[in-house]
Amino acid sequence: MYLCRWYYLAGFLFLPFLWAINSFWFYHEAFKKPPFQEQKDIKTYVIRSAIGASIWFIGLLAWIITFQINRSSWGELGDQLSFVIPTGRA
Amino acid sequence: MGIKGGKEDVTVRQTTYYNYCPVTVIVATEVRGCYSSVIIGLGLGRRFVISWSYSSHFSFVEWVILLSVEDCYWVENRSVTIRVTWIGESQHSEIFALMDPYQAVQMNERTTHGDRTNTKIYEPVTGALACFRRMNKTHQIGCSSKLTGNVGVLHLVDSDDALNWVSRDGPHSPYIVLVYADRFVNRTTMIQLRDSGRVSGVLLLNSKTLKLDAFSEENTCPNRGYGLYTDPKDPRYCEPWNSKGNGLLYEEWDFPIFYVTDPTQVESLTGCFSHFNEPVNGTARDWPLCAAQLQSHMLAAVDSETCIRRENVFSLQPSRICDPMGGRNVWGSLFARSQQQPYSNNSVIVIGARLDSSSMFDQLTPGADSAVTALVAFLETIRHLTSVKNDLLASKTIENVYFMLFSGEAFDYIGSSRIVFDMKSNRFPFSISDSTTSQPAILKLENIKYFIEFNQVALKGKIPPYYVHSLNADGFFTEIQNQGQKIDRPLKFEQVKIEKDNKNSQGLPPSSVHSFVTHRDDLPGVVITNHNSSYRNMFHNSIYDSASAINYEYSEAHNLDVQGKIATLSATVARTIVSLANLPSEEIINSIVPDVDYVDELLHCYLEAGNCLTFQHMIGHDQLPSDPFPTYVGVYNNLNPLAILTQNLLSTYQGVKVSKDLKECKRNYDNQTVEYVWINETCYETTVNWSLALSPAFETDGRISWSEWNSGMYSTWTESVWQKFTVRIFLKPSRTHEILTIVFGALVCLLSFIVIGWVSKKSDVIFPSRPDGIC
Repeated sequence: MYLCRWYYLAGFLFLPFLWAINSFWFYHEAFKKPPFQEQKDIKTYVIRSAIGASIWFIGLLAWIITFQINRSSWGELGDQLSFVIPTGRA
Repeated sequence: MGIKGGKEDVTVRQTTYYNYCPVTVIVATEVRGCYSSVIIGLGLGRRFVISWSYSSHFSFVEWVILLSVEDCYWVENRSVTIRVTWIGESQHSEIFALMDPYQAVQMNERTTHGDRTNTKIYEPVTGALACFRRMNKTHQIGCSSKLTGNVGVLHLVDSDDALNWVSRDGPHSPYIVLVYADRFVNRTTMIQLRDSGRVSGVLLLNSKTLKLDAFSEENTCPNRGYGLYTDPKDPRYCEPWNSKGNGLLYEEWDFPIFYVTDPTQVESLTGCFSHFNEPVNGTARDWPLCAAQLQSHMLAAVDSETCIRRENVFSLQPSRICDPMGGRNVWGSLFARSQQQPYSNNSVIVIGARLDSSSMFDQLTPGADSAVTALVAFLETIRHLTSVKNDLLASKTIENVYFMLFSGEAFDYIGSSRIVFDMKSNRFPFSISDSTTSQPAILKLENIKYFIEFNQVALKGKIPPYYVHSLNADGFFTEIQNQGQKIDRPLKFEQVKIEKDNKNSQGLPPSSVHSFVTHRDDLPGVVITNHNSSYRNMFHNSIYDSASAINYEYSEAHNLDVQGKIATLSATVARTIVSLANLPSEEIINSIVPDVDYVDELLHCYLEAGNCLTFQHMIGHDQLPSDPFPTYVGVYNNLNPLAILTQNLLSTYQGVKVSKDLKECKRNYDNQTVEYVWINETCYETTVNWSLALSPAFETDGRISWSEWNSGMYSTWTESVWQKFTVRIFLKPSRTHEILTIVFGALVCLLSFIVIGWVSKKSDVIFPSRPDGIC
């Protein structure tokens, strides 16, 4: 429970993967095991982590798709945002 | 320390033995305790003309060109000796050679000791010249392949049926098209191939029996939009000077194009096609088919601005993607004249010509009529003038004669626009500096009395005359016609006629004079050519603009027409200039007579043999390539051997021999009016020098100079960087066959895991344990 909470809080530091891990790891504890004293808290943390991770996932997906499609038409901005520019094509 | 032109054996210590020769040659210089090195060259038996020079940061300027690396042989499996050939001198550098393991891996792929599977599958096509990518401010032109190369099934397109087969009917697309020059020159054929989307490459085949009437990859109006007529509404904006041009050079191809020069390779390609691929009675053949892989990946794309920006963007591995095109302008003046005697207005005659031409393929730019004939006429005229220069000193109307060779004119006047730019900023020949005691007098556009240019002067036969296209220069025309009639004709040759181009509506043909007249309206400019309205040269700026295209034969007693006409023209122009000098005596004019043999020798050197005697004397040794030097301008940071040889030649004409030995024959930094050059064991004191021919749109380090870039007045051409060009053919199986092979391989792999797994589980049953004591 302490770990779950810690991971949940740390995920706010722009660490969505931590939230994803959190929700997977403690999923079993939160939903599948017979109820115990701290299970309610763990449940809330797991659900919130899952929501946070999926928001990040959708946001990143949207950005990646836009960037890949539009990088060449963005000209100079596209080149400055790129780390490795492909050779021989726009 | 020091490299002197010639042959040299360089030894490399190495302990691992390879059965090939992967050696890299390095030229390095110690400058203030640090080594600055440039890596040049590769291994066994390959010939490279690669050049290198210092930038103006260093206080000396030297140049070395590596001509060849040959004779790589192992000595007792311990060290390798290679033989390198140079031209040029460098007193501050040393040659080193290194075993290059990266090259070793590459050589591995190429070895012909056929143990490798690679050599059993692929057959390389050697001597194929690639079409490469160039860019300007708004477009990219030329060809590029994918990073891994373009693969396609070979098909010979020599009829309309075959063309339809490739672009529409054939079932094995994508195709790599084999085509001869007579079909290639047809623009619609090539455009159709490109637009069909079923072509992944083109191989242009050289044929000795094919004789073409015309073949020009240049546009019908060269350098459109630059020079005097920049307004598209002006009727002179795009006059069809080059009427036979098909403009293929300026098209963008999304597949690679190679030119196969070697006839045996051409035969192997067509043989492979007819044996495996040729359709029988209109039906397609079955797999396996003969296919080829073309590799000519270009690193740059889009346009010059984008690629230069991408070079400068921060990244882990900074790399060169493209280079601005340019070279060296070679110039000189008849007299050395210091700044204490500035020129008056309209007192200096300037004679000009271009040094370069272009074509669609790398390394093949013979430029016979496009560049060389005018260059030779120019050289011969200068030679005549320098022989009477002491008499010309007395002239009151002409204060000096400047002669200039421009590099990069075929690409929107790179060289001439740069020189005019320097002139306008009062930087020509050198910018004024307080630290130098003696500098040559600044030449400004206002000082020019006449600008005379030679441009395409190959003529043959009785009838055609030379034409003088002039702007504000009627005085010159009267005089040159006068001299043309007076001059003694060399035996057997027809008189050289000179006529004025009277079609003023067409304007001036594309020539360097445009750059000058654009910046000074009333400048008297003259272009002397062999054509009136459209070019006589049917092979302008193309791969076929060679000696045979202009009917030139070296030393053939019955066929010295081309040489004779050029010799007479040069002498006539020289006489005209002397008569414009208004000297009291006519003797000097009459002393200038046409020298056909010398013109013949020059044409031979530039068109046929790079190792001719004249060039050997210029360089000081005989290790020169036997092919003629290409006239392509190249990129600005790469030395052009042609510019250097021509500069040395001009130095021997204009220069005076002085008795200095090699050590003393060096530039004097206090006196910029003359240079000291060591040619053929003599020291010459001469005014001949060179200046950077880089478009003003680029700064001297290749970055963009935005004010000039946006003005749209200067050339913006750059050339992409590439890594390698290879062409190879192989037999391609059908797609099903390929998939089956992979699946089979994967299954075998899986099976081996299962078998080993099972064996290791049952290991104690299969391998009974040995009782102790038995050996």
